[in-house]
Amino acid sequence: MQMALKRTDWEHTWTSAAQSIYAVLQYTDKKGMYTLADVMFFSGNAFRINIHPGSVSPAGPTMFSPTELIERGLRILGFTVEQLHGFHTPAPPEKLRYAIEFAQETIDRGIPAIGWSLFLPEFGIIYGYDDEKHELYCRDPEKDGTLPYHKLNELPMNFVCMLRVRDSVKVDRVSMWKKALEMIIEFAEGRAPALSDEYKHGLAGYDAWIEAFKNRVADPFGNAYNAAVVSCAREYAAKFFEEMPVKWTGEDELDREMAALAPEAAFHYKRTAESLRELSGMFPFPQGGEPRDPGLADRAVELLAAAKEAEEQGVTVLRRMYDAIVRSETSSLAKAGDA
Amino acid sequence: MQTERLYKQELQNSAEDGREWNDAELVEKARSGNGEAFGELVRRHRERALGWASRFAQDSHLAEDIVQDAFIRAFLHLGMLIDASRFKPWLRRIIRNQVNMRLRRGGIYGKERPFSGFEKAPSSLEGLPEQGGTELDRLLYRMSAQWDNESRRRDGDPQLRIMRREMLEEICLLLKCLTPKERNVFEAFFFRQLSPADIASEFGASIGSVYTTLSRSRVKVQRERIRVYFQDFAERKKLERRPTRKVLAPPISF
Repeated sequence: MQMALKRTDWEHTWTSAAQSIYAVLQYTDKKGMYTLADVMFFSGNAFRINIHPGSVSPAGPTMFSPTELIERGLRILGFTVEQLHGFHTPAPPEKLRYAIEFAQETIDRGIPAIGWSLFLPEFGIIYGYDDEKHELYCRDPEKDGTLPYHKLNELPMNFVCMLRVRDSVKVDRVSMWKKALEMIIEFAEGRAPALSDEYKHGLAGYDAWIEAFKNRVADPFGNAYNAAVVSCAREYAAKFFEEMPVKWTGEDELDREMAALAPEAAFHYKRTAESLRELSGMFPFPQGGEPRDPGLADRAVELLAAAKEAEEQGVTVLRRMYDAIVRSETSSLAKAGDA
Repeated sequence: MQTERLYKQELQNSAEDGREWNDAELVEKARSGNGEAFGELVRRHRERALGWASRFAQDSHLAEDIVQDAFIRAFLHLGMLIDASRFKPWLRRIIRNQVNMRLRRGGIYGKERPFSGFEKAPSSLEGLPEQGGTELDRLLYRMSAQWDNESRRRDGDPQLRIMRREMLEEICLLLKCLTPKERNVFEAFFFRQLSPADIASEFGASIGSVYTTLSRSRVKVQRERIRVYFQDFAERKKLERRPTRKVLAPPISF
């Protein structure tokens, strides 16, 4: 019954927000504590989908604030986070200096900053600087290289945005899970703070995507990009739940419940990932094939319907996990009250 | 704001022979650093300027802002006004340009742009006039703030001339990064407030090539400003005993 995940590389993801968090973790005392699958889960990025029904725009995955895409996840993982007050460019040199010094402060402490749209419109990290040469050292999905200070004024999206980790703090397992599940369920139900109502996120994202295929309006590039991002994300969700039982090996009621629910969640997210993987294969990035071809579009509708159905069941399992945590908290509170 | 301060100043605006100075004389006096003369120009033309701005912008609050900005621009650019007797039409053109710039900058993404990877960035051509204006505005605001601080501290007219000359020198320094042709077009657009169409006819070029020149020049001037700004950044940090270079271990691959 178990299907094997086709992905073999678990060190890279199409979701640059999670890749950047993972990259930064390597410089902290929490290095080695989390896998990329853990990061994808606790930052909620394994469960993202955001589709414009009129185009399947490639803007979808990042139409959220950096607070949603990165900061909440880092906090759940046990860090305090600071954000640069982002600004549009061109900007006066004083503002650029403010951004450069924001990055330098954390680099001086040994931890890179996370930046937006450094070489291309994705997240990346800033891990060095040279004031004599007027250069930042950056890495993003496009390349590893230097970014002259004046280029901050000419970034691809004309917007400077950075985040940095401040302190590493202790977090307890149960509250991490509770916060992550809350965020993931909120997203699945379409209640996440979004930047545009035109895009649909969570389970409604699948309906928007189906609508785009039915109306033959899916943009080849955007469709291929979303298919790559979302299928990769769900593979990480499945991988995470596959490995989840080892995280709940205790003897108490909650551990037993969580460990029992894990294979169910893995099963549903694997099915979601399988359908999306086939979809992504039909419309390879970046050319994207022919999403408006009637035969292909009809097949895409079937695959998306199957992915949605599987994910709905997956979300049901996540709600049960969440309820189990709340129940255990209530009973331990009651016990504390009795004592 | 400085214009209000100037406006409130005691005005000594009559010539020795008792008659009122005309605009051209006031412009000349203002150019040589007489803040009171500029104050008188403001007083004389403020109502009319507000009328133009309200008519162009159809919004009285916006009109107030625009007039305020326009007078600051006018003051900073007074040296660029070739014919001193043409102050009124020149001011009117500045106001018209300010209105156009503000209205064009409006719309759904006027103030905010979606935080997203692939939302359309404005093409250099269509976004040029307001972006160029915005950028220059910032430069001028910075300079006028500097001027404001300086003059408040020293509180003396002779300083005004020096300040204004320094501002112009700063701009001229930046413009050195341009070729002579680029500089002419740039100055015509930003300082003489000519439209690209006017510039095209003045220089016998196509409107398209004026846009291209302006766009390229804007980027060059911007880079030059940043280069100049960061020129002694490392030195200043060294004096403060702060590190000037640090590169962490290479990150994981993306």
